[in-house]
Amino acid sequence: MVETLESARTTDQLLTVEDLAVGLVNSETPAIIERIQLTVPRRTVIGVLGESGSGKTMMSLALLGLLSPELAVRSGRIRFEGNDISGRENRRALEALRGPGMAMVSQQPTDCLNPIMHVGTQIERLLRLHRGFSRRDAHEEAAEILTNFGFAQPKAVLGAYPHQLSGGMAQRAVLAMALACRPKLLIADEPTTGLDVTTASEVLDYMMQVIAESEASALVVTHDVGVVAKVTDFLVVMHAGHIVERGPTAEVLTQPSHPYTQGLLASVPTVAAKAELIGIPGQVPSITDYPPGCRFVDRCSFAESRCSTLPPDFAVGDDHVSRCWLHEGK
Amino acid sequence: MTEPLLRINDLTFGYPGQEQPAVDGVDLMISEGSSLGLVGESGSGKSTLGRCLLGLLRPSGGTILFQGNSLVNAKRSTWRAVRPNLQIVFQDPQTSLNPLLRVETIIADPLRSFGTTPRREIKDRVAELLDLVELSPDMTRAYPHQLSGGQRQRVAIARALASHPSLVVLDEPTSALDVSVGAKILHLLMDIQNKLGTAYLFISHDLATMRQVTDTISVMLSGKIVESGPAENVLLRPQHPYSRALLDAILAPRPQVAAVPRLKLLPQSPNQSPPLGCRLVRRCPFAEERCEEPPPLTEVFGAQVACWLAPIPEDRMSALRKPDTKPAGS
Repeated sequence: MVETLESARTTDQLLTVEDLAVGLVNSETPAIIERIQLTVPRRTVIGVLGESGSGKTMMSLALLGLLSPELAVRSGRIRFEGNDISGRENRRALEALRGPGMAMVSQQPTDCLNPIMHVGTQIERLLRLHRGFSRRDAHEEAAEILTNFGFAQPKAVLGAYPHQLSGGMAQRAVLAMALACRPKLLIADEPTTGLDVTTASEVLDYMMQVIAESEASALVVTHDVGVVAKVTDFLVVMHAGHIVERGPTAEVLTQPSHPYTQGLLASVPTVAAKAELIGIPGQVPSITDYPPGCRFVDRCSFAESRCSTLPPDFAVGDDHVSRCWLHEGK
Repeated sequence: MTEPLLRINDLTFGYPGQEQPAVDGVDLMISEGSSLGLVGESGSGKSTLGRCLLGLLRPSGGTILFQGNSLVNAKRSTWRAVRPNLQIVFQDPQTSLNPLLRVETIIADPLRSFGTTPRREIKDRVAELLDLVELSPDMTRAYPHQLSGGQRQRVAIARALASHPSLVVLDEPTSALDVSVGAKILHLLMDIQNKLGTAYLFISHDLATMRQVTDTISVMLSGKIVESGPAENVLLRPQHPYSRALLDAILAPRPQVAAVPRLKLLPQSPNQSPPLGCRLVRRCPFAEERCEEPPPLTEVFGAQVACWLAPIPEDRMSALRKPDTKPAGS
């Protein structure tokens, strides 16, 4: 198990994250997210599943070097196509990657758009900056991109202000913008939250189509189990700043190993059955009182004394690990 | 037959300056101690209907009969008598609780203003309500910002239940919460209904959640109820193309195995005048000429369906299989 991960690291991975930790600047408090291990192979969609306070957005921002000033990377290495992009000395390299290398869409589509500028101007600027288009060509290309994202009247959208778009249209416009530079990695933070079911499934379809066509990879950060089930190949489950389980999506969803993943999946209502939804006792611990070992210990019905020591990754399947003492020696 | 708790007939409400009424001739019925789910996309008019029921908007036509009181254009004295029995829990407990008041004051507020509870019993009643929503008694002195999202929603529920209402409107009660927290809230609401016999009107776009908590479902589209009936029938065997499309758009939390035909609505093109007959006519893949006329109500599998075609012909459903398997680029 450890061997396959090790060998994967040396092959042609798009993004590798090793032992990443992020915490408050100049503070003795424990790291907020820590021991983050992640590899994103080319042409792969990885899901990051977690509830509020799990640190999934903080992790995405750390990858892009966009952490807010009170936060800092405390340790760890982030490599993009083999090049180290962590640390201050690599800031230039990281800057050049944003756009053509990595692009991010955040949860609130309207936050990503300048409210006093036409949508078209914003997309065209990107195309001119990153892909060297002339003013006129950029306009044509932008219309083309919007057409691919299912806009019936792309020119009308280009001339619209962000507030004139509906939620679904704004989300598609932002995705179109993020994908306009053909990034190798798209980080989508809650790409469908706040959209109607019918719109959400359309937006996901467009997103996946464009990602597949441009042979890109994606990191889909969400709390929605339905989204990860639909679009991801591999799944990372986060709780209170730790990755508690990772593995192939289908396997994690059908055979969850970590007690947190089990509890989370048992909380998801489905149309098929009227079941007793259980929920998870307690709440995500706040960053000021993280327990020293496993951070799920206070909510876990299997907790024992050794849980006050951090468990390592235990293999529970092919490329499937759980960070829980329950799986020691299995 | 005894008169139901709530009977709404032909209710109509239009926002000024809009061509089509937001609520257009709606009929609804809720019996004592039961739950009705009102589902639809954003903009379907479901929240507007809830606001008409609570007297927050003034309907332009139709009747609302609640415990024998007519609520359309009711006098202030009628509302004063009805309010304790008709309460609401809003979607976002962050904004529906006064941030300057302590939990005990928030919950005691309705008790004081309705005057239903003698002053010296208020303290005991607050303790009783906290116990009912499973909050610890030491939370009485807390302010909303000191509580988690789930705890805040429990306070909002306790406040709504303070005056022993016979009907509580729940407008998206869990959509602002994490899934493991939402599951616990739904569980609590069902417990309370079993204990106290409170009737619920759930307003939601989340069909999977509605399956867990409702007896009957009404599906709303552009101000009209297009299908209503027992929850199980409507959610497992929807007979209106719109209900079917809503269900088919749900992202299942497990990897999909069987490729069942899915009903996808056609994209909505803006700048078209609203249809006069069936509201789905321009988005429905089965639309025919007669659909330009208002559809009759047909009873199928115990549900009332407003569709010329109902039940959905299975051969036409299977014919839809093709467009769904469009090249996703892989």
